[in-house]
Amino acid sequence: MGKKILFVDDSASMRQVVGLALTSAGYEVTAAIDGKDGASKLDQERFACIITDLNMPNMNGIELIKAAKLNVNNKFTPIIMLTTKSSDEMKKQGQAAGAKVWVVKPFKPDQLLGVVQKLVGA
Amino acid sequence: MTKGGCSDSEAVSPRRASGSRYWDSRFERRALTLLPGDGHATADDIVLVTVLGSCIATCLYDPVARLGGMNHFLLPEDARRKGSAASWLESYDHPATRYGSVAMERLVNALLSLGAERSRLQAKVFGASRGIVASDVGARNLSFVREYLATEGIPVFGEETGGGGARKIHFMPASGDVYVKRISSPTEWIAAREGDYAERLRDSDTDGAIFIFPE
Repeated sequence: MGKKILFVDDSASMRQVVGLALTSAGYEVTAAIDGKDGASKLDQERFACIITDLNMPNMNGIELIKAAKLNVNNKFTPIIMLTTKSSDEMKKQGQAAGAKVWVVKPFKPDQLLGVVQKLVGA
Repeated sequence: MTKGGCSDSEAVSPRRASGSRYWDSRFERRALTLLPGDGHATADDIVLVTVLGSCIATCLYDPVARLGGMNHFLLPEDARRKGSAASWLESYDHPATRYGSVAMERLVNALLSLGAERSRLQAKVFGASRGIVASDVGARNLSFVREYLATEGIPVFGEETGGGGARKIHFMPASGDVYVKRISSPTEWIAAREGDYAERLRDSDTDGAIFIFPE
């Protein structure tokens, strides 16, 4: 059984792309369609890693990170932000909320995989 | 409307929209021109204008929030899999597709941040002429954008694509109306501009930057 990763993005095509990259590397992926959906999945299990988009309806990526940091299961789960935004101000917000890594789209699937493997192992 | 007021408006490309602003007397609205690589989302009752050959312009509109946006992009040449009709998902590993999907995502995000809802978005697609930049570029751009919109569940309400000439697009983001004009006059300057743009894309680094925050 591969390590479990929560991937949160409101774009269906992103969910497919990242889902494909991670599952083909042996990870088990749970996808969520926005921050709120992602937060509800935090209660159900402990993830090895959380990858989240920033701009999403209902609950954005920063709010999701804050929710994860307060969640019993996922308080210490490393979090990767995956976003088109790259301003220093947004990055600072992400870091303050508790993100470990900030990846700017467009990214190469291999790059993302490299970061995940570094954080959680293969 | 206040002079120069465009508070409910967002440039979609990382840099500011590089086109010019002017008063369009035909549409009786302020106009903003988009150049290749630009994108703009707004709730203002203005007109977004662009001239296309093989490039794609996607107009997205939310009929409830009454706002919209347009982008103008070209997928860079894909040397490794030229002419291949591989699904864009399978080819996300390629710079071309990564670039196109980010151009689309930026536009969608800008609209959502202005108050649009993803489930209400409607698309109109223009451009993808044959033979402006290179023979198959237009077709490849078109199959990408169709597949992307289908995956995202955004319905296409109108499409005027293909053919040999260039087009001038006028999009009214507050009403969703689009006027398309075929350009029959010489299109060499459009070909040159899109060729330059394709060149810039080839040289640009499309790999995502990674920032690892210190403990």
